Amino acid sequence: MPPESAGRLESGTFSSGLTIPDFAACLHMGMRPVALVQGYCVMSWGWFGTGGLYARYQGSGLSTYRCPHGYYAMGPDHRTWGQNTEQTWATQAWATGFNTAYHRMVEEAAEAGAHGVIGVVDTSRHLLEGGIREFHMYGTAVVVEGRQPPAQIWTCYLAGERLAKLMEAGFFPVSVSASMASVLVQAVCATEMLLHGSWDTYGMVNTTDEITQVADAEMQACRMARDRVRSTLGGDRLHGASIEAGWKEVGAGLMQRDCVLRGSRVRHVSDPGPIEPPRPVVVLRG
Amino acid sequence: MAERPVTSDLSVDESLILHSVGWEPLELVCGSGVYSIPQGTWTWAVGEITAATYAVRAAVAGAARRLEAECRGVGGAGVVGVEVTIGVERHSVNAMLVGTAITGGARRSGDPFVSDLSGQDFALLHRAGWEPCGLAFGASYVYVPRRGAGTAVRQSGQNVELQNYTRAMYSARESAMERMQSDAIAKRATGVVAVKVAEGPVEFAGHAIGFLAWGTSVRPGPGGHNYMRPGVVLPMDDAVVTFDAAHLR
Repeated sequence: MPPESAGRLESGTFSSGLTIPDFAACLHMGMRPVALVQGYCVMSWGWFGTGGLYARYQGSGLSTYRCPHGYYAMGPDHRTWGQNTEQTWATQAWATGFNTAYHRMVEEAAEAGAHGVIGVVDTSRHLLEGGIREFHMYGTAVVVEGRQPPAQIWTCYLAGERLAKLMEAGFFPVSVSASMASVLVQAVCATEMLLHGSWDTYGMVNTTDEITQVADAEMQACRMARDRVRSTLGGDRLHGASIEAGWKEVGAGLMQRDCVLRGSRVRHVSDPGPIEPPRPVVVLRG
Repeated sequence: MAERPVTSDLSVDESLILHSVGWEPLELVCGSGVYSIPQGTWTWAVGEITAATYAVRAAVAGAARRLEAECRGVGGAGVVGVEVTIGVERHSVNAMLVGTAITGGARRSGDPFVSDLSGQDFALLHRAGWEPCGLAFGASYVYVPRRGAGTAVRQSGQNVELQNYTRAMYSARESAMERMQSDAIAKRATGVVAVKVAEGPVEFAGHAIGFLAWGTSVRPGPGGHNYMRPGVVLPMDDAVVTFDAAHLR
């Protein structure tokens, strides 16, 4: 932690990133905000392994695609083979950046004597032409009045009323949980043609065909991100999950699908009891 | 065997209300569909842009198929709270559906349903004795009609109806909705609820307009409609209305 953090945390005043309603709900639940805490990590972003220029395209192969043209495939530029590959370097680098920022935020919270961090926000963006990526995570560290500090500081994306509801429903936050998956699409000829709105004259690639290689890449990225988060849950559940996904053109016939899944890992600690089924109501309001 | 951890994008309210009617979340599931739009599709012409319309409908249908397959894979009876994202590029259409697979209730046989209803709406629908049949979707892309030179001159400087515009856009909207309803009929539904309509010019082709309509197709369950008498709530927290004598002046 930078020396400025220690000075800020020991100043005796509290800071919080909560809105007024969330702040009020937090006090109502017996949580006292102690400090706005944050973690930060700037990563160098690119392939730095051995194996030459094409090594960055190596990784865990997910699916392969064959050119349908056979003997009709003409010319050296014809893409007779395509593959969807997991970019493990990107996945690992993202996990390192995220986890480092997370642990630094938790370290600040521990320094402030907090029991947990609520209303966590995490961002990640490229700096300086994409060769550098920053990870930033912040939230409001809280102390639960009248309780001993837990063995491990808990964290949660939720705050305020939504957190109160979660706890009333019998769940307790464990930690924020997130994962990123990146799939590189090396397009086969059919994919390349269809993405450019073209077709062949042999009737093997038609414009009414689905671009399965691209659809597969989207599914693969989502599944990997989800399965990776699920593997960390143990007996807990992931609540309020959200998916952030996007495409990036990385070269001729090369595209990258990134998918980030984040949510709050929560533990079932008690039964909320019977809940009445919903009833329609008419509200008489002037 | 260890229980599979639950992942879900439902809110706390949604999870609890589904629990109250006997349904539980299982897994966050997604479906994707990508189709091509042939070169020359966006060149200005007259009438409907059939290639674009086909691509959008096929992409959504493909995404729904994959979503159902994921749901089936985790043993779900259906998917609720489905978020529909459709991206139209010059030469491709990308449809993405994300929702939470659920199980429980009076578990139906057959294919899993896909519904964009929230957990609250699904629970209410379920209590009323209805069941979702799937996502009904319709689309129509049209060229903005051109006026002849003579018509343009006649209409210049006058605030008159541009009938060719009205006709083309009216018909495109109706086509999108008619396709959505046909889709619902194909799913053996009796209606579509919570219909959303999205429309607007295509970003890269200003002379083309797209209309999309989608909703959850529904039919009465085996027990028929269950009439739910609404309760009356009289809130006691209305703002106090004070008499201001200034109004009399």
